[in-house]
Amino acid sequence: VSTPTRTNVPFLNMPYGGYFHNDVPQEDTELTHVGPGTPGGEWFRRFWQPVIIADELKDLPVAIRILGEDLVVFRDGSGRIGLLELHCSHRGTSLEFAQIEEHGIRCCYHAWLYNVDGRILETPGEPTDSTLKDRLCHGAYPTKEYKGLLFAYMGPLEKQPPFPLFDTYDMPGYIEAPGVNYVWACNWLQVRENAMDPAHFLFLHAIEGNEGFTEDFQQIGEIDFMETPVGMVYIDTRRMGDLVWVRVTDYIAPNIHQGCDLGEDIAARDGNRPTVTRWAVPIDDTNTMQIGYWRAREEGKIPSAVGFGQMPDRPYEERQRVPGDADAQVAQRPIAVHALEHLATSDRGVITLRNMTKQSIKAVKENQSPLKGADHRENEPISTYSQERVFRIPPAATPEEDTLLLRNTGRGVVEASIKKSSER
Amino acid sequence: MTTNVPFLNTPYGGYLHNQVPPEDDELTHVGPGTPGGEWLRRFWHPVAVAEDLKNLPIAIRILDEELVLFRDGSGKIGLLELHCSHRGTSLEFGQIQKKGIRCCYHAWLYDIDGKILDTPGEPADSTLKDRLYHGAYPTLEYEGLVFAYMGPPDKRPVFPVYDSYHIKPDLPIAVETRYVQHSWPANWLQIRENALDISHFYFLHSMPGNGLGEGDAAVAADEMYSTLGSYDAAKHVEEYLDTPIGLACIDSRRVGDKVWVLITEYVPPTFNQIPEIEGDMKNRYAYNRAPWLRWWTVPIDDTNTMHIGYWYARAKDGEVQREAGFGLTAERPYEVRQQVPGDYDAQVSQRPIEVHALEHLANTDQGIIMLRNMVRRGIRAVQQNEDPEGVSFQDNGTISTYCHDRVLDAAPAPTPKEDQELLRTLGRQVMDEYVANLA
Repeated sequence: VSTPTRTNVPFLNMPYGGYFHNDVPQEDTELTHVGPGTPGGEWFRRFWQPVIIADELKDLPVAIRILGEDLVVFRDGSGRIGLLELHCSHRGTSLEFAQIEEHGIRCCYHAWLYNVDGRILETPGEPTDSTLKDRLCHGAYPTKEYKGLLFAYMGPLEKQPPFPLFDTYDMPGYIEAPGVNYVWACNWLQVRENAMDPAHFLFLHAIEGNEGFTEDFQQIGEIDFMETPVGMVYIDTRRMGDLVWVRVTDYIAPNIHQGCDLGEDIAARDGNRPTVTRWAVPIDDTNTMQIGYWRAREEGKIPSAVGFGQMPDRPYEERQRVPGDADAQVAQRPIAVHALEHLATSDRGVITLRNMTKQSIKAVKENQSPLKGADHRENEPISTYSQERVFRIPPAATPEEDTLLLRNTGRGVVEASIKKSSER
Repeated sequence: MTTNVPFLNTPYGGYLHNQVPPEDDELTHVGPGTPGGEWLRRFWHPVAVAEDLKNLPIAIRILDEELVLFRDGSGKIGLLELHCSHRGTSLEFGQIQKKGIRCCYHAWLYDIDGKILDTPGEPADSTLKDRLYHGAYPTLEYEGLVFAYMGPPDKRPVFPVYDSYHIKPDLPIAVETRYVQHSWPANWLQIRENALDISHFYFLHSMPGNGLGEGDAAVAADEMYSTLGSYDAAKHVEEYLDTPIGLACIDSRRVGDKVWVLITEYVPPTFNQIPEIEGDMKNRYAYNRAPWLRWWTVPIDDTNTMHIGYWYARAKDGEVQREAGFGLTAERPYEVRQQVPGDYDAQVSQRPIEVHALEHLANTDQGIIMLRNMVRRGIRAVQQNEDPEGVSFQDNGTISTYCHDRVLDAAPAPTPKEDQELLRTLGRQVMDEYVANLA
């Protein structure tokens, strides 16, 4: 079991001091490692996670890696989905080369047949009186297909939480579908931290050529952070003449981001709910898959591709001139080294997210339940907080008073939502 | 040694089974100084097809050592450390001379035995070249292959010449001698184990579309299973046994009123012979002696292996292929490999080094278990300063081998169980008669 090893490096305060600062300390393993038996990995294994878009399951099995484990996922001939250890229990051949059957999947090498729950149905090369198949199971994980995504639970069975249903699913006035999924070559935490870092909008996304962000985002709003029962939010409140525009974005433990879309008139934004519910699923310590649901108000308005800068596949020079989210976040190193950072005022959200995560990991390590995101009940919608509100409130007398007014208006929106959800 | 993981006996039990233990390094590691590597270094290994040695040196890696192989201007073959003794430049850029090879950087000249013939940048009275040697290994060119011995010089065994080298096939379906050579990204042991795993013919190679199964081939003359797993256990019997030089498998198959007995064999450390398995029964003679495939699995390093050897191929137009059949490379499209996997897919995907602690060896794996035991005995003998099975320091002439196949007339017994007993008896008789004839 790894322990946090945060080496502090000197706070460098001299010109040409590179030599005094040239050791790269280790990453914070407790927060960032996801493999079996690691503190962060055990914490992650207490939650349902999406692992693939369901319609990718056709007539061939798919080899995937989730939380550092090599797995095979398939839909058998009777429509049931199996998520099994990739390597056959017999002599290890990969089940990505196995043959899908009416019931289960059959290894190509010696034809052992596995049910979707890991039970061994046949071992045709063994004597007819062999009991091997009745005594042995292959490693398997429970799955749930929901609205076009396939979810898996990879933790201890006795700790399996109910499948989470967020209140943003099936909202009247919205249509939704699985979004395009994409993989970045870096740790999940830095990807998810970005969701609680609204300041980067004003910088990264204000670079000329960075498409998809309206000018509204290029002015500084009043930024605040609050914990919620399921995670935390940032609240971004802007003064637009007589209007006050409040934009709330969710982080939901362990790795979910919900945010409202970026491109409408201010006045039309009142009452908006998130158009994206997106997980940053760890493939392993240094690869992360973003996968989730996309939503729109109208048929045909759900995007068919990821937004600008989300894929690291543009030409290198172009990415250097106009970097996008993928460039900025993957470039933080395969695993961002916290001991080398200098967290500043704009990073309050990142600090809160890390503390929250660290405490929840610690709780699981001490045999408790995760602190947030796993205490919901079966079939009961989970309240979430991402939304946009627009109020007509004239500016206060002084800029200082107006700042306070904006902040209070923003917090009031989230406080009211939390109160409403606790009454439910 | 390996760590044992729990024998998983619950459905949806992945979480209880999610740690991958390390491989059995005693059996699988091949580098200098490792137990397995020292054992392998007590034998001659084929390292190249001789006709590939033209006017340029070839960089090769064998037993995790980087080497350069070349034929100098006088026709002699050298196998040297890849990196020049002077300042490490690779001798793949060396210039082949009438005698030896000259490094491109400062022109040190090496003879095929590692002797330094010339250091032209040194003073005329320098004695450096008379005192220093470059690393070299003895080689032997035989029947078109280059063999090398990479162990301690005082333990160098006699080069083994097997009787099968000189038997030409008399089947109309297999006439041309060709070389097999291709490399796979997996450990040598799991690849060699496949040769002691006859049952995979009845599964992997019984799948429709698997080229080994086209015609009547791999499974049994007129016997193709409609799908993977539709195997009929009553129709064949396999038995594994020790031979004086290694292991053999007797595979007896029921084909109508005939019984086809195939004997395959393994000779340490990595040699394997298989009878002709292509073609249908009507084209087979009652007795076939020439192995279809005679090949070695030479470790390149812990996770890469070179198949190299000889096979008899059907005469075909066009270029000489060094793949001995269907599914032996990763060249087919991934989806096609998923639909109809071949040997490459089944064996490479066991992991780069198969993890024995995660396996569940079963009835079909008797040959695997015997092979691993034999390899481990050899490794431990070398560790204890003894000579391993399979090396000889005295030239006793050609070595008898056991691979052959026969087709017998034998109507099926009344019940499947009795027929299995008949198959077993006939298989043993074939082997007994063969051994008696050798004597």
